Amino acid sequence: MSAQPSPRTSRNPNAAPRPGSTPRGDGARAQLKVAPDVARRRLRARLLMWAAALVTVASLFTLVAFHVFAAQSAFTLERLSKERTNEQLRYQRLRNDVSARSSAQAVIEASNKLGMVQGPTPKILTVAAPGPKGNATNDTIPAASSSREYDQLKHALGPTP
Amino acid sequence: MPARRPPIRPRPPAAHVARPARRLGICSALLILAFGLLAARVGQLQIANGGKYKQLSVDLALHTIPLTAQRGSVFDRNGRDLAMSIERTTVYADPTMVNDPVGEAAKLAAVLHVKAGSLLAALSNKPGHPRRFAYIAHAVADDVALAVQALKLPGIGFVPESARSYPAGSLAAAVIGRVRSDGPGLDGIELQYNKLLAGKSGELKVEQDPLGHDIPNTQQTRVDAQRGTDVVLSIDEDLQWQAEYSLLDQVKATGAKSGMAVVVDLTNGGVVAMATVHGATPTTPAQVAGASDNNAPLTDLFEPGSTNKLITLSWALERGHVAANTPFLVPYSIRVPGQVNGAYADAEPHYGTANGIEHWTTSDILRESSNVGTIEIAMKMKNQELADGMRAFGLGAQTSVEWPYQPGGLLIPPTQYYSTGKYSTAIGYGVAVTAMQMLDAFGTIANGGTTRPPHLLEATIDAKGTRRAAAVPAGTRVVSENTAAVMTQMLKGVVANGTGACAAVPGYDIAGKTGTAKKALATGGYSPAATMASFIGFAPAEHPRFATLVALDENNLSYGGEVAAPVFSEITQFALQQYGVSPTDVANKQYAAAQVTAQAAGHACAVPHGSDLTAVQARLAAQSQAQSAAATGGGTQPAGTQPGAAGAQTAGSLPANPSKHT
Repeated sequence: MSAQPSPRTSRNPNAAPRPGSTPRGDGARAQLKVAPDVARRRLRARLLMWAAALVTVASLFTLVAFHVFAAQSAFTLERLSKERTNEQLRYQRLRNDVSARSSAQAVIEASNKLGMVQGPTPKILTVAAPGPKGNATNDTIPAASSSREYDQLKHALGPTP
Repeated sequence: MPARRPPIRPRPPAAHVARPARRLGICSALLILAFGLLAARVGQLQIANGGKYKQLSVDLALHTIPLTAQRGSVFDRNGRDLAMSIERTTVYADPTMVNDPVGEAAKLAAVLHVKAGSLLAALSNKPGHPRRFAYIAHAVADDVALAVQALKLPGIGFVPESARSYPAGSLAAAVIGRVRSDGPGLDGIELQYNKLLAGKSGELKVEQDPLGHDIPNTQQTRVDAQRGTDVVLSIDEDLQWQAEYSLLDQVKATGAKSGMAVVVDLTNGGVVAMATVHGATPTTPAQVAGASDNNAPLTDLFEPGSTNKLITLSWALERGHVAANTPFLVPYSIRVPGQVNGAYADAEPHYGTANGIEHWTTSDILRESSNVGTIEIAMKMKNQELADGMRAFGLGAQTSVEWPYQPGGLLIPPTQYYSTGKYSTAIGYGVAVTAMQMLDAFGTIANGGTTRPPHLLEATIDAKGTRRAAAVPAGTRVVSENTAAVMTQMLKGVVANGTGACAAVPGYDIAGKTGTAKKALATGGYSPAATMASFIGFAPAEHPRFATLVALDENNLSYGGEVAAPVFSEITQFALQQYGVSPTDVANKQYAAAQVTAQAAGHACAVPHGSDLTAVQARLAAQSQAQSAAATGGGTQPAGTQPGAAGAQTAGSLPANPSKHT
């Protein structure tokens, strides 16, 4: 800035010295230069000022926007975290409920309420393993007994016993 | 024309010459000094003592809230929950923010259903001892937590906390145990695996204003709690229920003081059921043991009686002293060398034999549970030899089941035997065992002579869901496969034609042994009537899947074959069918033979349930009343008692007449 001519000297380089002022020598006059166009300089300064202001405002706006976005994300995260916690709690309670209802004690109590009773000694039915010729092996299963029991019970069996 | 300057008039001399520059300087200096002092103070506060004041500020605003780790779950072998943790709300107070402790205590007491006096201590601060945290109520139900929140009391806060839940109710309660309100396990599995289950606590540091509200956008430090490891037990919930159900009804039906039952899966040694039942008292009905009760099969010691003959005979077979068909002349009673008082005797006279002497083989001796015969076999062994056999089968040492305060039992060293020590030990007296130890011994025979170390812990599942199978100790050979096979055949005979007929299961071969040990009196000698009746066996005999023990303490019927064997049969039948084990005796040869044997002995061989149980209990009550009336009227001894049968025994001696049906 100091290298530029002062605005007073640049306004009218040919103007006569003011009364009472000390006349300058040739060396001082030789340092004077022609200043660029004032309008252009003002325009440039104005543009620079606007640009700086714009950048500042944009930066501030971006900062604020980022902050708001971050805050919103934080709220979303918090909400999701709470939802997750609640779902976990719900899962635990449901699991507890299912376990309690399906426990042996609960099943027996429920069946008693329905009037169900334990069946008599179950009949053990073993299908004879086929021998070499498709017959039951005599050393393991008495075929006659098994066949008789099977005949007695087969009507109660499903289509593919 | 240049303008002329007006002449300068000399000013008149002033009395006080004003010097603004000096005044300005002074003011500036004062200002600089003042700001300098302020800056110095700020510097002192912020730089020199900054840390201290910062800490003071943080201490005032920052609250540390402990985050309890969620305790791991306990599963049965099928993944069903036996114990689990549910997050509930714990209410706490910051006493420094409570303005009206008495008023708040009254309001809270009404909601929490506790006495206001008990809350007052938590809400008040002692002078000079300020607290910022005190528990008001642990793990309250959701509706209670909402009611407390609605009160909007200053200084009252809420924090989530894990609470224990047992979805299966009292099932296996004595096995699972319980936890203290603030987490640590107190009994059972909860205590044994507390370090695994507990996890690691965390903490939440949050800044709050004086009213206890969180200050937004301030520093929050959260160290998350690490969830505990899940524990998978070898227990099967259904089988456990069946064991408890059968045992409880039999305890009720026989008026027993207590009962216990254990079932082990012989494929891997996992304990699939472990039940303890307490008999009725004048104030409480018979019931399954609770969470704070002893898990009797692993903690209670008793004299095994005749079930110990399995070890004596196995060891004699293994050492080549006898074979299954070695003949013996077995009299009704025998006095061993050095015995001064009394004599060992079988339970019943040997009817129908010449001079009361039976011609029995080793197998017959086991089938008839002959004390005299077993003593004759023991005579072939040295003291140390028999003691080695007992230790080889695991007596005198803790079982492989990990359990807190598990006793190892009592096995007297052979150097300290009385003259009768070896013979007493041979028939199961003078030795104290846990039920698990005896079942372990039978498991060894079932497993072909190699131990099958039992365990309760099947696996663990960490917080990431990684399942790790628990290490199971390897088995060690105790007797040869041949010895085990011979013993199995002999044990099958006990069920088919001997004292254990009521243990038979239709469709399956059963191997087992009865035991009826008279109970030692604290005053010395043995009780004439009180017995520990038991049955231990495995099924199917040739390809064993389950080993089961049932024992009833001080029952009205006395004999193990009559009271414990039917429970064994019921539980084992359920287990075999539940696990789809193929029948091994479809012709029901053993079952049919056992029916005949039981009928001849006059045993009912059934655990009464429902209306049958009610009828039996009514009959027992009537008998009890009749006995009381007879005793009051100075009548005769009630039927079934044997006055003086063992009462004359001295301390450390054997009962004169241990039951044949032992």
